[in-house]
Amino acid sequence: MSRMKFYCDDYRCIDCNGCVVACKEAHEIPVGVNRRRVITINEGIEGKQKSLSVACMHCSDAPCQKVCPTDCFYIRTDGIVLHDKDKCIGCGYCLYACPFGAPQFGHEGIFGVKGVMDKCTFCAGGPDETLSESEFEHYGQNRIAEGKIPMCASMCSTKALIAGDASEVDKIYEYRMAKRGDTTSLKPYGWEAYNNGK
Amino acid sequence: MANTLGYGGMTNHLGDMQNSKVILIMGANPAVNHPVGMQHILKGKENGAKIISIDPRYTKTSAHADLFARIRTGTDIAFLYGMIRYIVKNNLHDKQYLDERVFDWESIVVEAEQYTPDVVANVCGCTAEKFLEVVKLFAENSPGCLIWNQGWTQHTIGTSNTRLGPIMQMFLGNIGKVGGGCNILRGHDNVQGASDMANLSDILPGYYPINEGSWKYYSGQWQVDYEWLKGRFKTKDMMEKKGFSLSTWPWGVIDDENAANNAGTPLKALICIGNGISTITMTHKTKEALDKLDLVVFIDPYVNDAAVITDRTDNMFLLPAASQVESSGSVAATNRSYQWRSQVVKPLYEAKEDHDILFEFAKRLGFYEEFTRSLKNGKPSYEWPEDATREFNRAIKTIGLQGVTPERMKRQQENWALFDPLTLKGSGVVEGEYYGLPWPCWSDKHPGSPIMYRTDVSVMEGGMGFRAGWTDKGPDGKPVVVAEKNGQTLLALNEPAGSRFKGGHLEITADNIESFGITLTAEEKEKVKGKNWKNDNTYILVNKALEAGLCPYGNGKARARAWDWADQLPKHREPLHSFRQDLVAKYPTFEDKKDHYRTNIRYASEQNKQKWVEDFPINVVTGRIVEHMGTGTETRASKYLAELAGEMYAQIHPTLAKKYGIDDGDMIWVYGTGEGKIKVKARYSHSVAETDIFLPQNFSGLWSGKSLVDKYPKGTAPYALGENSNQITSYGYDIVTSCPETKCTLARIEKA
Amino acid sequence: MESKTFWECNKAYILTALGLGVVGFVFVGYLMIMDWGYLIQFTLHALIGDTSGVLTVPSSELEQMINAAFGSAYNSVAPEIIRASNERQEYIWYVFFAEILIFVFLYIKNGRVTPTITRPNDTVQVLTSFQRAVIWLNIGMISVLVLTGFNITWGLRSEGGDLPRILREFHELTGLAWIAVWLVFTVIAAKDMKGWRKNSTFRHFLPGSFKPSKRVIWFFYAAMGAALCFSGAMIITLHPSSLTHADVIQFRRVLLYLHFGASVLIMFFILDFVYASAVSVKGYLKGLWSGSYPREYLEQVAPDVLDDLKKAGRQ
Repeated sequence: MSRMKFYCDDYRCIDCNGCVVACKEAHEIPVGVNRRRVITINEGIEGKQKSLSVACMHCSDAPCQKVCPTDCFYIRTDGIVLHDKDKCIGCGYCLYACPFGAPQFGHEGIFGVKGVMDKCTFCAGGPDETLSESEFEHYGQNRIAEGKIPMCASMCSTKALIAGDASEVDKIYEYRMAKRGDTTSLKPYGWEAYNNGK
Repeated sequence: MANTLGYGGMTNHLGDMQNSKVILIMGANPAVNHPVGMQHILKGKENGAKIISIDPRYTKTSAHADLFARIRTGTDIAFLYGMIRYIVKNNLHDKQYLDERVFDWESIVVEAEQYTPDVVANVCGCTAEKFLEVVKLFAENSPGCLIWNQGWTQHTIGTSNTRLGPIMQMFLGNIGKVGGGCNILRGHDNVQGASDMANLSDILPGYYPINEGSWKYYSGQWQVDYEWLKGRFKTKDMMEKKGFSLSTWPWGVIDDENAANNAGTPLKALICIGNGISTITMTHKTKEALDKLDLVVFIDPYVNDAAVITDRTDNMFLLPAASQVESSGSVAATNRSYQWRSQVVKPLYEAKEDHDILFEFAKRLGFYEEFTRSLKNGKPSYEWPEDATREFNRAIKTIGLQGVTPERMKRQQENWALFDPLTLKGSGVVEGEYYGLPWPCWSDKHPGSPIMYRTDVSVMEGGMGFRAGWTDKGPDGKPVVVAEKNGQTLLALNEPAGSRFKGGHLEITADNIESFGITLTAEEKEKVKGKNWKNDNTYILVNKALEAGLCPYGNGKARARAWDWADQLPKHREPLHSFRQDLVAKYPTFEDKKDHYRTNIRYASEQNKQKWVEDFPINVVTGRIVEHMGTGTETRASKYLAELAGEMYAQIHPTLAKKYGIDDGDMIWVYGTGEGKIKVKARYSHSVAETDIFLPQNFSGLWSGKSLVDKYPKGTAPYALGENSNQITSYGYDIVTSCPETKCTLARIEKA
Repeated sequence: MESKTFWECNKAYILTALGLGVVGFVFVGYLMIMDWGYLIQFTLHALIGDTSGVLTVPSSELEQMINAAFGSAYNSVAPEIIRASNERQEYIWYVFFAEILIFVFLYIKNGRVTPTITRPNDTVQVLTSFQRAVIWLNIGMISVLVLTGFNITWGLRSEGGDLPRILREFHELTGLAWIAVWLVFTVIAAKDMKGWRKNSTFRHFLPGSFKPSKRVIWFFYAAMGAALCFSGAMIITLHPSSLTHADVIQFRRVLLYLHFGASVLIMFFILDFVYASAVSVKGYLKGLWSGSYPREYLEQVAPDVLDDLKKAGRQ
């Protein structure tokens, strides 16, 4: 079984923020924490306006895991990168190391300093018992355990955001690329932004 | 559009756009207003369709278009005529289609003659080259579909816009074609249902006109005595008179002269149920009216923002209504599909479902028995909403809702997966049905009509010609259905596939049905005597017609000339507050209209009152933003949506901003032509033209710089508050529908 | 001062410069993977207000999107952070070991000055209560910062959890509070120290002259403290937010690296200070608390303090 990954098709993304709201609603995430966000560049410039939805890319050699001082990250066999909020001390090193800005912090610390880290879980919950109350409280829904794809991708208005098995995602990407000819980004954003520190 | 084609609904459906080869989006922004529908447009693009976006702004839709043309607001008619002229000059029009199916199309050609590319460029503000690029791309690809929305309807000439669009499509033979059509994307998930059920002041359910014939028909349907029903109105004339409309009612309160149109009295009370009147044009006038009324009632799940805008201190009531998840029933999507909704949870707290509230009113006003008689239909009690559905199945024949029964809708609801999104065809258990049974669905055996006006399939597969129901004044002054006008026939020269009768024919009546080779038994003849397909409760006429492959509403021509209208052919007229004062003399607006939905509306006198653009030099475009819906009452109360779009702003081009010394993020005052003003944050954007600003229309809660948050009952204020852009929209209403001319607003700005 | 050779006068400065120079050269030249050219350019841009890290106009749409969505030039700085974070946990023991080795060597070479006290009750008031407050606050807060800071670094030992998380939160809050203390101490020491060689003639705060070695310690206290305060304050103020991420992440990375680097250097000089005040000379803790030292102690260990106090009339 191959890895799980995200692909956001900037050709189809219309900056509707459906993915952002779907994620926040599904996991009851506090205001201020955005596991997923949509970026638009060149707004209003004819022919150049593009939008992209970004969240944790679940890297196979995740730099967040490398830097964590308490070693609270773990990478599942299906490639999903998760972390243990009970171990996390909220130091923020993962944020510095992440090429994509996936780690998010609320203001739950003493006097409003940052609390523990929160990030996209690919809707796969966390180390707590699967589908338990405590898992939902800490990490949100566990849709992968229910056999469903992440909420953001399932709610994407235009199916710009695709999530799932890497081989399936690749197939869709190649299919769309073939259909469109040369208008699809040759390098999907995100897949190239982080290339093993080289 | 009903006055051109016969029915006024979206002709094709969303999934059908994947079959188009070119999609022209004008006066619409589906990426923002129909994000999920946009999927079909983008898939169409992947299937090779070219997308053309024509808009005063470079919108999110334009960002995905192959071709973008910026035109001045309110100049669509000039553009469309320019297109028609080019199409005809280059022989790209479908002559056969026009001759067979369109009445008086030649006049359009004559009218289009003056719109050369240079004239179009001058009026619309684009270059002639860009215009030619657009028309070449659209005319040379087939099938092409046309999408529009509020960008076309919110003008004094909105109804002309929405007539000329379909006419242009017919020149290309695109109506009644897979991948073609006029796809008007309605802005809410049940606007189509609301208009089908006549939530308008000039029609009865199913678009029956409010004349004696229809009232008598409905008295029969509702099983009440016509005389009793007539007695509920002040006079018979008032019963048959168009009421105030959503945009003009404030004038019925404020202006004493309108009392004459309203049987001698101003409006005294307002009951507002499920409507965000705070974002109807000229909110400061709405406020004035609300302050003056004797009684105001808001029925809504949230606190209606208008309740906070008014300063009245007494006789205002808020009744909590249940939301859509707390009630069940059918809703009609923009493509005329009816879907069944189930109740998820019983109404919470003291909220009541809308119908319960109305029944409570009926009980206290003394006509509950009459009100529910036809719901019971002979049984001791009624079952809501199934009996209401059955009632409209019986009553609404004009648009063919006979076949949209609760049982069929529920079965479709349970079998969503069995429908194909591209064709809407069902399989398995729902074999033969189209999803949502799009009307007209003539009988409970009919599958629905996903693509209207198709003559390449039979009527029982959803095919039909244009409606043959055009009326003209008869000798006694009353409207009568005619088969010809000005010496030209109004009947089509072709017919739907499988039709036993060749050529066009008028709508089916008891008198003419046998002339189509259909025989009735003596018993049947007796039952349908004097009736037509719209009021025959036995359905014999309809079913016999369907058997013979005939469409019950006839087989006529679409009409390019609307002979009973102020502008028989669509004409470009400058908006009342025109950015191009120099064009007003050549394209003046209408004469003032009295008693337009019981209001005296100014047209020419407003346009000529002053040279508006000299004092108000900024063109204002208002529109929706994707995070919010309508008045924003519901969406601004959602913490996540309020987080994404929490404050009001004005998008302004950096060049324009610098002329006024406005930096990105500065507060500015925007003054409208009607003495309203708002204070908003300026945001630099290249999407607006250098002469325009864009204002989102979804905000409320701030009034000219002051916060109204304290006026909300405790705990009910939304998270996000903002200025209401409709405080500064300019006066103006469509000549036929009274839809407000918000899209052609002029304003003055200054740094705050 | 008596006539000393150039070497004797400036021994402390020369040795410090040499030591840091060698260590710095080895580190920067062989042990770091940061793109120094980028870092220098970035600092120049940051000084004129542009902290986004976008130093050149994007050459492609891909680059533009990456800058807007993820932040720019990931490979220039972030890998260094990753390297530093990991290696601090594993190798910093060796650094401490090497540092302590230096002081052991010095101890062996120079021994310890141990004053003999015969008249313990003949005391002199050396430090006012204000001075003691500042000193003790400093000692207390720096201890907390060191302990909580290393709690973060050595998370593998603690394995995370509620207590380490609270300690980390205390690190941030104590750091914020320490800014004021650091500032006071730096200002008054600067005032008294006044210049490279001379001491201020009006020493109203800390009595006693500044020997070069003490100057070096103070200088690094001030400089590294400044770096720590600035980077720490910025790190807290720029609370992570998805809205500003791409614009500030490169700046945050540089700040974090500054914080790491400054903390390493200040640790050495803290050890140096402890050695200088309590190991090479027998300290008098009771005096630090009460403010009064036995006269004999001062005569033997710090006669310049006595002179100063006489001059100031507080003898």
